[in-house]
Amino acid sequence: MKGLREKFGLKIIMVTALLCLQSCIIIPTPWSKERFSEMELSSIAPNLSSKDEVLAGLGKPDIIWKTGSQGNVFIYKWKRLRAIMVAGYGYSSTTVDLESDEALLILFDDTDRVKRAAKATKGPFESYGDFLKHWLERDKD
Amino acid sequence: MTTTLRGTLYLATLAVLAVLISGCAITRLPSAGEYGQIRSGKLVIVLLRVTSEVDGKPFDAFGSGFTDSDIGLALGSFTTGGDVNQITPVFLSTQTRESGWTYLLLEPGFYYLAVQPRRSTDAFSYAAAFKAAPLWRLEIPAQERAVYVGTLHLPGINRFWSGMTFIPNKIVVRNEEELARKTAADFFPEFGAPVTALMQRHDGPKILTSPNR
Repeated sequence: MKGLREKFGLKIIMVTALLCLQSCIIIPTPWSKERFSEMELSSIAPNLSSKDEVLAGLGKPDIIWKTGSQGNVFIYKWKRLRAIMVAGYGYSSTTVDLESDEALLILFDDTDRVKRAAKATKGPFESYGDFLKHWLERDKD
Repeated sequence: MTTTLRGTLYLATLAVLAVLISGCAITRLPSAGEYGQIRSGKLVIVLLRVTSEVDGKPFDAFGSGFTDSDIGLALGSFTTGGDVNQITPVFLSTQTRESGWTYLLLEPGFYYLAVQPRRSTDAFSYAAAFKAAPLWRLEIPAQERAVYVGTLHLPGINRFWSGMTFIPNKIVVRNEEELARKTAADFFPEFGAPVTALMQRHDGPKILTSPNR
């Protein structure tokens, strides 16, 4: 008995601790879908596609951003599930969806032709306004 | 009582007080710095009145002075990407609060307002429910110092199992610009009569403009 306790004692303690103490696991979700397919995105051609063609292909945007001097931007936004966190404690557990803020931004020129279109991910600690301004500033480069 | 225990009790009391006070109505005029920003045109005083009735009887939207017991407001802007987040209303005085008047200090641009009846669920569910609530679009013009965006009248009914609920097709925006002028004259005489720019029920893509910085 003493031999068994010496041989397995530490392992029993560790397994018991893992079962009883707070723990969490994060399950990535690579299968989660984007809002738009690659075919839909590839149909938007800079300097060619018009605003009407974008509306016909992708539908109405969630936001129309009137930037002023640089033209209007259509913004299609969605949340993408990146992972699921399961946190367990004792006999109970909870799940939390870990999501990222995604957006398709389409900048039009003053003739309502697509000037630039790109998918972007908002940083977790930046405001949506800063995210938009940073994206637009990249257009000036 | 030991020093450590006394200190712990002191901190716990402060924490409880902070939680209780945070739900109380905020009655204050703009600060000196804010007045400066209004004069320079960076900010605009936005006057808004909310009135309500429940089962046909008048109900003071902000009558209790406690955020959880009053009608809830949420606001979306360029900073939030148009998504509405619950705000704590600010009031000019106890009397105007009880009449339903509140004010916002906003930069010129587009904003989105959502309202909910007083809270009867947990705070997280209540905050999340604003995102599904009907929206009103506020268009705050530049070059103005004070704007009146209308009186939002919210008829509702009381249900035993779910509390107060608004009747969506009876919600209207009234124009009480004479009352708005009187309120502005009492509290902001420096800025003259407010311009009337009534809020509009909003559907479809949200329009946003960059703040002028």
